[in-house]
Amino acid sequence: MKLSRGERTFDIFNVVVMTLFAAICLYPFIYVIALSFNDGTDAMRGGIYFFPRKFTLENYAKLFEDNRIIGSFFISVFRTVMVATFGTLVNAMFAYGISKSDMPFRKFFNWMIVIPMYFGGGIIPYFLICKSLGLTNTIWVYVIPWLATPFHIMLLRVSIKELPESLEESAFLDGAGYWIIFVRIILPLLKPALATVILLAGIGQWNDWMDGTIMVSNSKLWPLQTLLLSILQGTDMMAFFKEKNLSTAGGAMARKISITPESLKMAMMVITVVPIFMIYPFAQKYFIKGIMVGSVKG
Amino acid sequence: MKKILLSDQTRHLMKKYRTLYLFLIPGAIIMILFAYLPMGGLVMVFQLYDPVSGFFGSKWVGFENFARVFSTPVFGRALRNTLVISGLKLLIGFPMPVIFALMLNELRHQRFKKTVQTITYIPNFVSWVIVSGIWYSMLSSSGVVNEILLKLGLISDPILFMQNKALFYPIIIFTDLWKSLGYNTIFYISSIATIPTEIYEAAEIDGASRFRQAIYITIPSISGTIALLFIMQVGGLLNAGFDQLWTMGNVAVRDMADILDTAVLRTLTSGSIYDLSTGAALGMFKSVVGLLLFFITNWVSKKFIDESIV
Repeated sequence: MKLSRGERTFDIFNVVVMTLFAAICLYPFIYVIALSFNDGTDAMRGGIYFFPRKFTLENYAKLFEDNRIIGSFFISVFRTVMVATFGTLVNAMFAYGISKSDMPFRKFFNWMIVIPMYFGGGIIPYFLICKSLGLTNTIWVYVIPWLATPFHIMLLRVSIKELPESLEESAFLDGAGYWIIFVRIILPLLKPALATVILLAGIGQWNDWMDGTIMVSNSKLWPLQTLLLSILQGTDMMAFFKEKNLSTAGGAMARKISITPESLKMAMMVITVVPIFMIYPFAQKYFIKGIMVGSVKG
Repeated sequence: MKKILLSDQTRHLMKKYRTLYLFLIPGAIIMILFAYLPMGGLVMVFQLYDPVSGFFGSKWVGFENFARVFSTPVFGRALRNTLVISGLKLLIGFPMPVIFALMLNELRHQRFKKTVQTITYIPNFVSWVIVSGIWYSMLSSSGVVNEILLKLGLISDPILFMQNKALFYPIIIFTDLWKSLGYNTIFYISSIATIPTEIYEAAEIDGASRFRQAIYITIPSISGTIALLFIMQVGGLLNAGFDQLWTMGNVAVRDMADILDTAVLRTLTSGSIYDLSTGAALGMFKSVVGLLLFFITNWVSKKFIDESIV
């Protein structure tokens, strides 16, 4: 097929615009990564765009010296793993539990997941309830409330509905109970949907900063995102960098220390974002499919 | 007694499914504690909540908290900012994914198209804390953006992007697009994928150019998706972007960055003139009006374009 001149011009224009678009999406990450591997004092001269000029691992070394950062990292890992596994189990159980159309009171349980998707008490009553349950200022506040998520139950329910009922019936005749059917038949068949929900929950947990900001005043119990936010916003900055004798960039230079608050921030952002990059290939595959299911009527 | 309440058949079914009810217990407990108790906790908006007496012992004050919310300048400012930011996001942020999806669809080289998609979805998976950190450093006085502008001779002194009130909303719109534009094209691209290829083949035989095919086939075919997503965004007009505004706002632009959500959150952190009950009342106002907006737009779309979410 021959292309007209107008079409060819459009094709070139289109490729240029799309390349620019992709470049703008990607470049800021490259910039931050390059700075994180660069000598902090040297970086203040500017001129670093794609690669570090004076390569160093000192920024990272300094971060991993700090107990609070390591602690925060593990708190983030803890909440992510706990919610992604146990939360998904609770959600899958609930989704299976309401999958029988002739079950009495099914409607009641159905409404139970629909209502919270549209209306909530808001963060202040939520905070007060968590406080009265003794969850505030503990790491359990990151986990327990998230063990059931209505939207994830909806996603799993859609997939359970698609399973053929005959599978269960034959297992029933063999004398299997619901628990055995759930573990041996339903869960294995739900793998793609479970992967979606695990990734949704995991990414949500890893990226959450609000729980820490609202519920936990002890900064030693903050997840990485909350700690990073408070460092970026400067509320925590002075205390944080004073511990390291780095309170000002000028001071750093005078003492010939090659780390600056800026370079540490860059390294910390990279640490916080690396797990997301690692699971991104899987996320792209499952997450997007899950979103499509969710957007086509729950 | 039981016989009057439940029929024999119901009781039979309940017996049949008795183990299955146990599957609901963990999820039900969590939702009751963390979704329904906070809803019940909203009684505090009619109280002068004090932490010592709790929900049961605090003094009842009727609608006083709402009166206080509406009479403060904080509320007017937050409501205005919410609507302005949401409005801008609707005006600029809504059509962009449609245009980009159409452009992506016209890419001939499939590998190139996949690569662009893979790259442009990435920012969506990153938290607003990171996005804010990244753009604060890109736009800082010694950041790469200022460096390039200086080198090109477009400016003689670095621009303080994040402290500049006039630039704040453009930056908010831009960073929001940076994070979600690529990802938001998914909905349209998958909608385009469902259009039968025969239609395009027939159009080609009739001599329709690609431009005309896009105008007369692609756009009309995805108009349902466009309308649905438009209505969803209108329904969410009170959600101006909680995470974004909280992480990107700073003291210099506070007047412009405070939205309803951040005003509520501030009552829990610090720097708010509201007490807990008033803060909760503001939060409740936002979610009730938001819910109404959602149902109204949903009803409108059901009635006029036959697409709905609920």
